[in-house]
Amino acid sequence: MEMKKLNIIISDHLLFAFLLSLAIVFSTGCDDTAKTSGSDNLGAPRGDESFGEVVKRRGLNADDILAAAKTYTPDNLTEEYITLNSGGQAGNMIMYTVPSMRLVKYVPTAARQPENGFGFSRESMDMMESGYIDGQELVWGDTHHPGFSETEGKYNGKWAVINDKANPRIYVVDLKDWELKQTVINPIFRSDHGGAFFTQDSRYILEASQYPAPFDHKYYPLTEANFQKYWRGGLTYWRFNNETGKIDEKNSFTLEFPPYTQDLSDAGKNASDGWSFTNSFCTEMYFGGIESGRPPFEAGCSSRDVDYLHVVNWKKAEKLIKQGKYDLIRGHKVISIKTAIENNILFLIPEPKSPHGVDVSPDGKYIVVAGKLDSHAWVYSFDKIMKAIDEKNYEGTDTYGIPIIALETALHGSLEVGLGPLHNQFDDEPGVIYTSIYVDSRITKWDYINLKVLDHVSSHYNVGHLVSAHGDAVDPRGKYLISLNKLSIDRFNPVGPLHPQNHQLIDIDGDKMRVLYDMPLPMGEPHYTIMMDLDEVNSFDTYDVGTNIYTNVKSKYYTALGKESIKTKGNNVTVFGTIMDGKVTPTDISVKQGSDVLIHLTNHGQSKTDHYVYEIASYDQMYRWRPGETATLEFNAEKAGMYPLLLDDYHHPDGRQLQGYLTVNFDEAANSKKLLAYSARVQVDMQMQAFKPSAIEMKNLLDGEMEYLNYGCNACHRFGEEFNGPDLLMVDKRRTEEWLTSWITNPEHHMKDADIEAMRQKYKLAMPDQNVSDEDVKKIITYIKLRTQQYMSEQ
Amino acid sequence: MKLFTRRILVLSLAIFMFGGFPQTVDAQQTLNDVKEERGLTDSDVLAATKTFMPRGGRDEYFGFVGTGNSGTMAVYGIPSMRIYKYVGVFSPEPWQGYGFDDESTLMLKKGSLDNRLYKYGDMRYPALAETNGKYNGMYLFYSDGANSRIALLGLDDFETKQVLMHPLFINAYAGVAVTENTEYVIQTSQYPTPWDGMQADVSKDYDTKFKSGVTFWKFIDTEDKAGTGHHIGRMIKEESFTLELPPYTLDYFDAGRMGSHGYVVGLASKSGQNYIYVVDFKSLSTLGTKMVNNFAVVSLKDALAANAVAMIKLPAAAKSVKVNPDGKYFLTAGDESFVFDFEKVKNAFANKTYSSNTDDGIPIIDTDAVKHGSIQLGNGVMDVVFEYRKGVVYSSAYDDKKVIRWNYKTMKKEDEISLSFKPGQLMVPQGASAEPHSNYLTVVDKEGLYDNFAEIGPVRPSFQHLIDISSNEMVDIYTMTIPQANLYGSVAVLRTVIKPIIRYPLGTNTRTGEISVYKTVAGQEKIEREGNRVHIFGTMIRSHITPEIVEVNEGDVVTFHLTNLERAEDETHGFTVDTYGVHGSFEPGKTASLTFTANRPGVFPYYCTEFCSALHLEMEGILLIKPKGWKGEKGEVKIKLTEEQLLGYKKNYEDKLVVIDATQDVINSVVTFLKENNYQDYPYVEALVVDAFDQLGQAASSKEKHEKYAAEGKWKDAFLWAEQYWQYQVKTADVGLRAKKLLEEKISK
Repeated sequence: MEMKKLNIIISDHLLFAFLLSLAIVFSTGCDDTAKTSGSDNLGAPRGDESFGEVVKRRGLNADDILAAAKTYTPDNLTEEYITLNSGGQAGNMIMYTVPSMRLVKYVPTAARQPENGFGFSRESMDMMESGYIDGQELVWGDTHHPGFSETEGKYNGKWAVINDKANPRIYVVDLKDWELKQTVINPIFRSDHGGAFFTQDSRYILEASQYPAPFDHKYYPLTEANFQKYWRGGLTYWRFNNETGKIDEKNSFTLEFPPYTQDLSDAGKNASDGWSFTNSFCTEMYFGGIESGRPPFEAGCSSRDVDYLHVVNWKKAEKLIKQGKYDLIRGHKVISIKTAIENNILFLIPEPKSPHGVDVSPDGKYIVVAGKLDSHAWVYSFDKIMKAIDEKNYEGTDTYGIPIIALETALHGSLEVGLGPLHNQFDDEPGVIYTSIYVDSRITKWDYINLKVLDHVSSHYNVGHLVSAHGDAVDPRGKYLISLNKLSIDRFNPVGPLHPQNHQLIDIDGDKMRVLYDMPLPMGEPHYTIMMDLDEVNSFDTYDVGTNIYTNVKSKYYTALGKESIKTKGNNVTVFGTIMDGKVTPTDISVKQGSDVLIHLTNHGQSKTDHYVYEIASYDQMYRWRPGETATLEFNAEKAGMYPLLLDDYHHPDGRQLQGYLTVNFDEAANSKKLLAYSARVQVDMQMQAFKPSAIEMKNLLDGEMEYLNYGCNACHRFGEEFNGPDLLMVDKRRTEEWLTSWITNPEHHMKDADIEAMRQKYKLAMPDQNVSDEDVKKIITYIKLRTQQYMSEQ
Repeated sequence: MKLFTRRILVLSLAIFMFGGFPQTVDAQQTLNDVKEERGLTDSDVLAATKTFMPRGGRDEYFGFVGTGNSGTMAVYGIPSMRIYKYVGVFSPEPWQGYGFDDESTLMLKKGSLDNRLYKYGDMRYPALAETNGKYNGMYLFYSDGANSRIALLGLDDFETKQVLMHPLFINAYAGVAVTENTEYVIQTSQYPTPWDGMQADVSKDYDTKFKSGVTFWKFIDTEDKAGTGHHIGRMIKEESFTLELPPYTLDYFDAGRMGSHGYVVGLASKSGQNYIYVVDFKSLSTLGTKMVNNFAVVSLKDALAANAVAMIKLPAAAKSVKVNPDGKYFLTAGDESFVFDFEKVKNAFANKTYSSNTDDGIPIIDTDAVKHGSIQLGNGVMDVVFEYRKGVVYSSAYDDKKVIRWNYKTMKKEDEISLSFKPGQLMVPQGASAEPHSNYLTVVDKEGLYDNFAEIGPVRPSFQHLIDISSNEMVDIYTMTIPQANLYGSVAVLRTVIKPIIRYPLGTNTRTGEISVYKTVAGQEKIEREGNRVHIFGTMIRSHITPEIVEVNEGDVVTFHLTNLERAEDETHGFTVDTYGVHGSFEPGKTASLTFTANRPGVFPYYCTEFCSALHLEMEGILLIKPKGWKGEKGEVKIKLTEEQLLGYKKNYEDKLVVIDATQDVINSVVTFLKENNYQDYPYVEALVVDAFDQLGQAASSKEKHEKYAAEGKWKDAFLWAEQYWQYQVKTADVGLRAKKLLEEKISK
């Protein structure tokens, strides 16, 4: 169809004149009635609208139109940058493209993600389980600071890593397919925050602890003396291989720090390569205890005027490790504070109170620290720090004997940048830096060499971190800056008490910064973001047929077309199957109830649209097979019956297609096992809290029915029919209340009774002890009576 | 060491208060420069102005999209196509604590048939609650095609309120429909299975043992009975029933409205023959039922005897069937698209003018007798949707890469748009209700084959286009990407129809909408122990969790019942205990509980996981888990201070008082500004001021304490409490400055 000529005023001169004549003023949008059509003919077609009419209807001003033109990215244009954000407590990483600010992916790291199958296949569960700490099942994490791998201080487009604050772990993602390839547990920390940051050739990944805790993971009573003696912070240097993308845990080590609460870190680069810098707060070593009359953490942890920047010579630390100058703690190499002091590798410098960002300039000569409770940003000179160290020019030591370099000795200068400076990113123009100002909710652009403010721009509420393209590497790109606002209050359509975050794209090309776009972040809470030029990324769309995507090697369960089979051995059923052209072979699977089933499927599709979701209805089993992937569903065929096996062609709008049925043939023993497992789950739940649905649902329940259901009695019993256990109809007539109470609360006691033994033979199942409380047993008996009456009246 | 004597840093709150850098409109770069630099055409710029949302602007519509096997609902705005929120529905979602805190976990487990936390669901076609066929903006429903569940979301707070597993269906169709006053929420099976949980032979027993069904979940609404601002409607299992059908594969379906209220039409197929099934559920609801697996079932025999079900033959498979806005017609989408006249169908029922029966004995209505017309629109027609103008619909032709506008009354094509992609499911805002709107049409692109799309590996997002249908010519104006969504249908409703709350009444259990029995108010925090069961009743407020130190024994079953005391909008706190895998999200006013077994002894920090204020990182605590058989001494908590240290604290205390006075001056000046400029005229500003005073109100007890300890010469305690007083001042000033900034924006207009 021929495109109709659009009525656009092309001349900019005319456009602005037109806009001025409209005199439309920028609105913050708090006015709830603005920007929708009138109510007379709400929703009626608007008809042809000229450019001017659209502008007027939508209340746009000249800046808005420029911003729209700068961010709108039609299908024929290429995006310029990709961002990788921490997902925070969503336990993943978030990706969106710049300048259109469209969300494109959630990379799973800590949490299950059904849409792409993470945590659903055996292979992805192997990955998840490798991150379980001391056997604790962890299907959640709190990701904080992503980092791109570097070569000579530049992003090399190969790997991304991120830390998990809740479960001190590092995740490694391959940028060829943007999938998780390794999870490494920090063996001595309980919490981490100041990572993951690469050194300039990706030799190490830095991970600093946050809340101190004993390295040996032992219990010590909490006293001020014990806190100072046993609690510790630290900085782990994970040895990384830039070629294989693997963290080498054996050749990694930790430098012990005092029990200050360490925060963000950065690795030195260029001039300062070989060094690393870590912030801290709560150098008071304070712990709270409001409940016992102690002032809270927040009072004691910010009571000093300064905290300490930790300066580490990691190249020398690496040598100490080679020389064997470390202790093994929980199997991990640790350089003690004592060894670090003796070998001159650890120094402290006072820094502004409660700092967050510590950022090394692209040339490596300056280190900029922003402290939330100070209005200045502080610029340290690496040369001055080196000189102080060479001359052993210290103002003293801390409690642990670590030398302190005086602030004035190390300082290049400081500048008042606003209330609550928090994080810094660099510009492509040397000396230019951007700092987020939390309390003032603005971004300050300033010159960290000549120490002068260049510009401000108002951001929305509570800006946290900032990101500029390659803004923490040696070659920042300028052009775009993104403000990561922690609150979005009135910025978007309201979606209930839990708000999205707000990322604002800022144009930093000209002298004046300009906010271009407000983007809601619909899930998770990004703490830190990195942004890379899309030209540096080289990803692929398909795998070689038979690939286990988590190990990148050909799976031993690869099945060739025509070689499909089902093998049954004892209680184990193993299916070797294929997916090709929207069909799964084999189509039907038949097993005995209680079997352990493995379904290995190989997706032979090789086009980028050959993605398939294969699932077993009502068995909670599913995975998404990428082109060429081999993956495994593993489950116990606990329930008998017929379960549709379905295949969804992900890139086609047709629905799921039935492939066949999983037939689970009834087996009495397995069925009993299923019921006992059900009973065990109920008992675990009873420890949580008694489940109480809303009043409207309760209204339809008889007295005691909720307890009857909560204890899982319905798993085996029904009224008016035998089920997995005896019919409960009129059981209150057959047995005394006293007997029923005794039987429900103490079934073991009755196991020797002849009638009970007969029932046990009949149902192949013993009545489990559900730990029913005395109060609840009365309610359950009441329900049995009421239900019997109700049943009889229905008949 | 000069820990307490250095005074080189001065917090100068006042400097930046009045020194704003006003932003000027800077025309140094013109639109033409941008167009040239980026290679935009005039129509691109027009599309950009139609979709770009200026700062703080509100989208016209809320869109709710089926996310397929993601199991979470995505809500987005039209026309900006920005995604506002993913809400956990059938899959646990840790950011919201969904399936992680006790309340939501129990809701999910107890709604299942076997007390399990299912890991995912497959949700494709949502339905919004209706009143008189119009969206009432209160609830949203989803069917789980994977684990056969049905879910209810409350749009007061965008949370899932109820998830029930179907007692009969093994495989539900992943779509729902509601009747015109949400009397029933309708769910059907998809692929037939036996209902008795036993094996059966597909080749021999198919007709005897395999079944399909249509379920009518009774929905009962209550207006805000709990006094928590929640509308507490629920599906009531005891009053719901299922119509038993022979083993047909069921697909898309819809419910009648107005004249056709009481009917359900849906797609069915068996042995290669395609049908539309028509169910008169008003007649069904009066019939007797039998209980199967504790669920009421109307047998096919009874339904046939009551003349409540019939079939209409279709020559080929259709992809969807939809009832038009006034309920007079229903349309199919397929290579031949049919329009059926509901009046004629009703007459056929009334007069029993059936042409024959299916093998199963279901009467067949002659297609031509009830047909209004049929039309061939193209190849691979996938979907059809209604708009504002009567008779106007849009159909997608997948293979032809076209969307066609046509009129189902005149049966004429009106217009079409050629697309760069193969169109799938369509949606016009409110198009599935009695009052469709116009102007926008969304089109799903499942393939996403864009040459220029960013390289992000094999797993790519789903795509959906926004087509401008406001004028005669249809124009593709935006390509939206939706990650973590296997995209199918969606629904959209006018923004103002939904009126979400922004905070909960203090102590709300958000899953029941009632006040939680574990609600804890400030000052009432406590730890209760009974044997190895430990209950911690705690609170959270900027920037501390009370209690801050908790000690339990190895093996204890521990529950943190936490209440967020905040009233400020968006002031959410999160909670976790390091390496224990628990997580909760606590929006202002919410109470939730986290239970775990303290099976590993040691020291475990806990903290707030949602960045909440400048001292968010200090919002922490320590859980100490004492090993079994621990024999050691507890020891004195405090280290005794030297005289020199004590005097240092005295100096610190006195310095702090000076800072406190200076800070108070700042607060006073902000208050003066706010008052002089009538802050109370602006609700958002007023809310911030209320919050600021809340924060200052918290400070009084710290003041009492620091003065008391100072009088006793306990300088460290005096200093720390003075510090805490100042923290509250800072929080007050922080919020106050925000209020001032916002007020300045308002009055500058």
